[in-house]
Amino acid sequence: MADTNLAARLTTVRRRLSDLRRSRLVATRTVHDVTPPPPGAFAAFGQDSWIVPPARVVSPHLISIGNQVTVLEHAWLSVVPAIDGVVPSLRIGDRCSIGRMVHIACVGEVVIEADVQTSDRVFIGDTYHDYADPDTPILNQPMADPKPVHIGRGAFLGIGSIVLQGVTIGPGAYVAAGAVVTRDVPPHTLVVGNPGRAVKTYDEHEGAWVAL
Amino acid sequence: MALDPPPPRAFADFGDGSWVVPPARVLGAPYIAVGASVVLMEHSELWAEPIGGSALPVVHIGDGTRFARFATVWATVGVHIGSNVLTSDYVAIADCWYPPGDVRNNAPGLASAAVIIGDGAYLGCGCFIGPGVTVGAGAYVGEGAVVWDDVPAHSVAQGNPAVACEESA
Repeated sequence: MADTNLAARLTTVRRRLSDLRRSRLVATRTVHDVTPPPPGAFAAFGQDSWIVPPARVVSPHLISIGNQVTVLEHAWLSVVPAIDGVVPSLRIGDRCSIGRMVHIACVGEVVIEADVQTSDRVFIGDTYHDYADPDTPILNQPMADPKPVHIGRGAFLGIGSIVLQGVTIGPGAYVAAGAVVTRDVPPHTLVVGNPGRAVKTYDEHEGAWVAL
Repeated sequence: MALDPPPPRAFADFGDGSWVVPPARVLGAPYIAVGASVVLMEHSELWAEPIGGSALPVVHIGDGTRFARFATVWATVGVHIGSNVLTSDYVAIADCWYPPGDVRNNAPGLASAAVIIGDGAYLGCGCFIGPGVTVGAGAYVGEGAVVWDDVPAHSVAQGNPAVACEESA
């Protein structure tokens, strides 16, 4: 009788230990996934730059960060070599300020020039999940060929705005909150709506913003 | 830490039974007046930084107003939120075009303008209320709506940019 009790207790203890080990492994992995890599892991990481944890940074060796860049918490810098023969690259210029929960999906080239500011929940992607084959879950379909995204110096991306593949945003452009940018934006131009529409531009002769 | 909300005494006013759930990014608490029984759920950002001549405090949140998670409020001249307002997640309200404290908020063309949210209004998931907008009492702002123009009382606004599309009797 005593032997059976002891055996049962041993089994319970063993099970608890293995549960503990497993949960610790999961916890370690989870924390590792959202802890930004050290500066040395990046292709370049300038002085006084800061990625606030938790952040998901995929392929830091393909990401260049300039000087005095701030990336607030919950960012997801996803740079993935998903296309044969394409080495993706993400560049974030000096003094850029990237808001919370920003997601940059890059399989080709995404360039954010200096002094760009983004609000929270901005999405920038240079590709999309292809959907051509109706018989395959989109999850299992390849990424579409990337088209480079370029965001000009001193531009501003409003809260929740979305910049899609192939878009070039001119220097000093203002992308309003919630705008979905599907086409190029000229310099110093205000874009609103979904799909994004240019509504104002800065007229240098008049020295004022004029309606379009 | 920066993500712990400041204590009630740090605010311009902080009513009984109100609660800012951590983690939250609260900047400029002395310029924020919170009524009674207000709830601001986790991961919210309240950022008040008055620009010259603003009447203080620049953020008012009325009694019984409830903000869901991931809310963002940017205030430089005035964000006046009524009582018993309910919001869903990811709602953003800004009276300025750039983050508070940015000198560009004073520039003509894209200058700050006060925002008013009427009593008992509802702000749907992911909606944005822009500078100078007045949302009337009891109005329903649809999910994902991006509001640049006033929303009359007891009406429904939807879309990006939002249009008022329905008015209750």
